[in-house]
Amino acid sequence: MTMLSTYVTHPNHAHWLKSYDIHTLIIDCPFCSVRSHDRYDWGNDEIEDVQDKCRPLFMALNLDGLYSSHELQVIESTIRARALDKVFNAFRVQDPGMMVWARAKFPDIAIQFNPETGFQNTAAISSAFTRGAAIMTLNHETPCSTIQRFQDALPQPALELFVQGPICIQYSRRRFLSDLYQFDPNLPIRLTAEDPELPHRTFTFLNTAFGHFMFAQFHRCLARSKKKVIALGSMPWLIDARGVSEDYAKVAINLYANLATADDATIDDGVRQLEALSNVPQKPGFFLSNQTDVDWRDHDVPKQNDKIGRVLSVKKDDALLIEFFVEIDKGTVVTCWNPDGTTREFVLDDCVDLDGGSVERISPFVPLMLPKGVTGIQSSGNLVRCA
Amino acid sequence: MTKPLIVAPGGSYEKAIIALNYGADAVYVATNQFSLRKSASNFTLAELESLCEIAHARKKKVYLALNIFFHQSDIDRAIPFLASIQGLGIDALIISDLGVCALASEHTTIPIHASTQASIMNEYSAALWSSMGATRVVLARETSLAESMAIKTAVGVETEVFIHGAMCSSFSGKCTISNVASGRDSNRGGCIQSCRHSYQLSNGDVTYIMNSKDLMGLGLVPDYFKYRVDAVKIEGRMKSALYVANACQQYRLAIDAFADDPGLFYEKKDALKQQLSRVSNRGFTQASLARPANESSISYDWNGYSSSHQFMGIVVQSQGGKSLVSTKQPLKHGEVVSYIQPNNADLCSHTVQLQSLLGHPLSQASPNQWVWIDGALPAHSLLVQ
Repeated sequence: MTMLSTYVTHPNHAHWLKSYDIHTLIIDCPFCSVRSHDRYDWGNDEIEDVQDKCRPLFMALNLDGLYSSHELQVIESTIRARALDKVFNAFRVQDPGMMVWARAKFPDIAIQFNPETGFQNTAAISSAFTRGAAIMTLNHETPCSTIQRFQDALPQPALELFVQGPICIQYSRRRFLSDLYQFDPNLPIRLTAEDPELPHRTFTFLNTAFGHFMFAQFHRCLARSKKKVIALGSMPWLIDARGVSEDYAKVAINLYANLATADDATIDDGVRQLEALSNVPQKPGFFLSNQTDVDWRDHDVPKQNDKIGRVLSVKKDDALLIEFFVEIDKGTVVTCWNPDGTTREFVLDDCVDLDGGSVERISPFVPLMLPKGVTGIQSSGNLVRCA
Repeated sequence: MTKPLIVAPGGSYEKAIIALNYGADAVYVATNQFSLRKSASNFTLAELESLCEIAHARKKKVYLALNIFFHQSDIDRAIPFLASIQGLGIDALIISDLGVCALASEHTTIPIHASTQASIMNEYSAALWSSMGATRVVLARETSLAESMAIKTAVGVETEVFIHGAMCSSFSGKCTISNVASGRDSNRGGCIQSCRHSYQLSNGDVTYIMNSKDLMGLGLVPDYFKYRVDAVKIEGRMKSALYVANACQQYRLAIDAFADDPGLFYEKKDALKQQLSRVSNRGFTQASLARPANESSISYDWNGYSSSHQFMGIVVQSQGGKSLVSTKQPLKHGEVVSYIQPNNADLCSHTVQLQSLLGHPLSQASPNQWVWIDGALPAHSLLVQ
């Protein structure tokens, strides 16, 4: 059975969470958790009570901020003063440096690393495990094909998959809403916002004492991608219902806990409930594929290192002025790749320097004139050797 | 008194040369692989090698940005790329991805600087990067100058702190608005700058709520010295040569003045700030250099860039009593323009007499045309109006 990780936002939730097989219960504490929506300040007895009832593998304190050294001193002293290192057995961190901090200050606490961005290659993921991560949460931009590559390439990777919930797409240390309205920054503020340049997409803005967080116009929802999710093998699934509702959390947990055996109709029903409870579309996002690398600028242009020169100036009734990055012989045939995508071959003959003197060997980074010009050449064209 | 190095943007070969001529101690540049400024002109390896030779001859440095977040598909290309740049003379690699940091340490001997994209805010993050081989950390723009010294003292690593230019409103590297909203990866050179857009809030207000003003740290130059910052960074690989020249020149004057005689710096400070304002900007803020950025750092009512000078062209070289100019705006025969020079921040004026490359009289020149003008202006002078 797949284990679930989730954020528990109130002690009362233990009575229904205890029915599930929980890997990690994550708790936000107002003194350190940066995107805490409700600032519920847990007592140690409440944390222990939830742990006793739900029996997760890990009770994790959410240390999800990018903190200054001074803030880390305050966090450390608060953890010690409140004996939180006795009730939590894991810290969930975003800043990779926090792994160094946790190892130095609380060596017995497990480190759960949720970098939110980056760490999308095996070299980076390996570096996180080398630095002490017990488990790493894959960010929302990593497609399933890449996750499969991680599974294949890394020995026993302890990876966690974010399967359900709001996607944080921006973390700022500035507090845009409380600054704008001069509200008390210690009281979380939530508004929705639309960008007129990207109509019909409603983003959520959350302002806390630690900064500003912007959430995507849809929730991450991998339930309908069940086959691909399950094909990735056993890994904890992370569900985030913070800022939505307890009912949303219940539906989501139940849906994913039973996903492996659920039929399509049951899954559809669950996803529809999540949509109704959140009033936000439920989508897989980049899980199925990530096309953000596809770029129109990459098409039909020479590779950067194939370029041997460039067009400096083109004007009717004047010389063509070009420059090469490498030494080149007179008589060489070159191709000009114009900015509009057209190409034009021409021979480097009748070349002169800026004084009009004949040039036999063309030196790099020295402007070179072709006094008669060449038709079909455009300004800012790139020059490559003719194949 | 040790001066912080000025690290300036080299968005193209031309701009990198301009930066070095106007006072930069180092330029940061990129090829079109693995860099966040995909739309900049960027460098071929031959250009990069040439730039390194020019910079080193003047005891200056060249840093190569490999500052994207690498996807798995990039890793296979990264190793041959690292091998190809090993012998070019690059003085440091600017890296944001811990995995690439490990690969660069393994496959090159080029020093590593941790990019601001790594969002380094504290001594533990700095220690992590240092342990991975980084000799310098470019701190998150949310870090104050005082905090930068605490990090430097605790870890013993060089610090680089931004001093001028456009600001991300988020932690750099912690924003994927572009990715989700438009399918372009902001951490791989595709940022559409959604934070510059206006937003209609659910309470009915419409405002440029995240539109950060530009950073100007000139007034805090004494603090960069006090907190022993090793290098100050000017943002702007996509900006014009005029922006680069102007920023390098004013910060060169400010830093040299403070090092020579702090009183001289305070005398010049307001004039230098005024000079910085003459080039396109969004209004200025000190952001979080001295205290956390607040509402005064945001340009809520955006009315476009402000500038007092328009960039007209660059003097590429002078010979025989005339100057070869690469134009950026239309130039007319007989027009009076001003120009700034590498060693003189004051504007001089000049009446333009135009000739074609072949020496024929011209009534006007188009943008991006190379022409001769009468008069031997210093090479790398920038024409403005």
